[in-house]
Amino acid sequence: MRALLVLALSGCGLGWIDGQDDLTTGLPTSGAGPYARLESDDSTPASEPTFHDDNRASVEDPSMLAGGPGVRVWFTQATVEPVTSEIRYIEAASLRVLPSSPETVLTASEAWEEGVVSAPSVLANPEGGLVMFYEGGVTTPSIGRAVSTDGLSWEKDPDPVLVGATSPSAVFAYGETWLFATRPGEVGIWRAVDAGSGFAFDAAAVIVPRSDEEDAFDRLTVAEPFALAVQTLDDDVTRIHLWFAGTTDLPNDATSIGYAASFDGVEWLRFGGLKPMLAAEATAPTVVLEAAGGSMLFAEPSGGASFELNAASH
Amino acid sequence: LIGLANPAVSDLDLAIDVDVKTIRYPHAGIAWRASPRLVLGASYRGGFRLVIDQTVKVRGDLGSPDTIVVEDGRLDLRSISEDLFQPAQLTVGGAFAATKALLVELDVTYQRWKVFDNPTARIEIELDIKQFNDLVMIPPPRTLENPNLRDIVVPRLGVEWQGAPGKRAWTARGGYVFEFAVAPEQRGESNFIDNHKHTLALGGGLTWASLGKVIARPFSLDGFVSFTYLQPRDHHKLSPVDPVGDYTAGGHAIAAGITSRWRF
Repeated sequence: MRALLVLALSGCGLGWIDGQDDLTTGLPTSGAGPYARLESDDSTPASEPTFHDDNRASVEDPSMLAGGPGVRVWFTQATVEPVTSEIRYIEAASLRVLPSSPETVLTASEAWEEGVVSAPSVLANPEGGLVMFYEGGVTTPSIGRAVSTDGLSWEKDPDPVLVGATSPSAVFAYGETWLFATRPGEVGIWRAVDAGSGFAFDAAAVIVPRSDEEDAFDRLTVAEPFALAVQTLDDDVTRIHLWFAGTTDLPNDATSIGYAASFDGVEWLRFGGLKPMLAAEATAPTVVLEAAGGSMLFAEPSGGASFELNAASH
Repeated sequence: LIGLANPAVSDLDLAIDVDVKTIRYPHAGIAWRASPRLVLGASYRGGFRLVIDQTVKVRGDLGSPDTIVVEDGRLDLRSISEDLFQPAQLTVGGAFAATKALLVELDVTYQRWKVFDNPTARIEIELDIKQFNDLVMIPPPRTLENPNLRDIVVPRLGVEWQGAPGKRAWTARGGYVFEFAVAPEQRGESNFIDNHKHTLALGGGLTWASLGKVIARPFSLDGFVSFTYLQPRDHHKLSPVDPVGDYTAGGHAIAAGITSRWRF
């Protein structure tokens, strides 16, 4: 089967107002947002903003790191008939330069995965190399863990590290591993902490929908977290960034990307009031922070139940 | 008429009323030769602030040429911003002739930065569109953070070496200035970035007794170059969702100049 990759680069500008210079270029920023979809490049012959290699699969859940020629991206590639879900990998010089073809790097092999692996969260392993947390399983979705030295060959733990969780995103903070995830049947985004003896969920969700706010972009649901741990100028303080997808039905059904942050993982604040950091339709964000900005990959609907990847910048 | 659905049909007369006011502030100085080798002096420069106060007033009926929906509608938009600020400065100092050739100078300047206001524009909007007023919610003006600048005392030290007099005499100069940062660490929403500043300056000059028959009196040409080092400073933000986050500010600035003196 031919591989599929859809990397959509659709256009608009920087700042709160499209097409207007907000005079912030080059100034320091935390990278929280707002983000705007990249402008299309009219100087190339490709039929941008999309790149198709196969239109039968859905490309979802990107996880991006800076490295390689520019960025390294792991993502879920899924098909409905036959039902498949595996994790693939691409490298690109930038989010504007499309890779030739993705490479399959992780497939289901353990019994608990029930033939499905998805939603990779890849980050630098404090012990060296890379570590990936991923979702597997159908009847009881769980989070698995794998390690790699090159990002291509992965060695899995035989058992899941967290049972009853989906859409993981991990950070290392304060000597612990924090997994942000959603839970089947539970509302909100949850944190599970591993201080050395295994993961355990907090007593309450860290981010919940703002159901009492009619104008909130996330008044119905919050999901698809992406977390980043960034050291502040204080050696003993880490800022935890958390981008996530929020949904509303007012005035129309919409899924967009919001932002919250915390210093301790317990007290969380949202940024932007009731507004998202990236307008609908957008879900499953992953971000690479730069000195004076940020680059975001996210999934957006490409028709039917399928998704494609798109890029935005701050 | 103000076109409600179609702005292109608007028909408005334009009038501009500009009032540019002079800003006056005092300068004064005094010097006293306390002894043949010591001169003391003091000076005062008044502070000022340049405030730009702009108001846009729109008056008219809203609707179309055929149908007026609102009669005598009104929009007043006022912006008040501080465009320029100079602190009041009081300087005292002295120059001591250590030798016939060497002059040592020291002065200290008190700078009144505490009265500096947040220069960000304050926006006031008033809208009266009669029966539609309830449909428009204008948020209250944003409360601007007080910059909380502090007054500082700036010391300056200088030396001047006077070459031998003659048809073409020379002078060499050097100096150092230290300025405390006037702004506090930026921990909240504002980012008034300021650093401790160390400035080293070198200069010199030549004085000609005359330049031919045209310029019969002494003529001097002086030049300088200075290097200002902005001591790196960390800013730790209190909020985890601060859009800027922690940062370190630093840098440097180089300046140079030439002056000429003509006696007549």
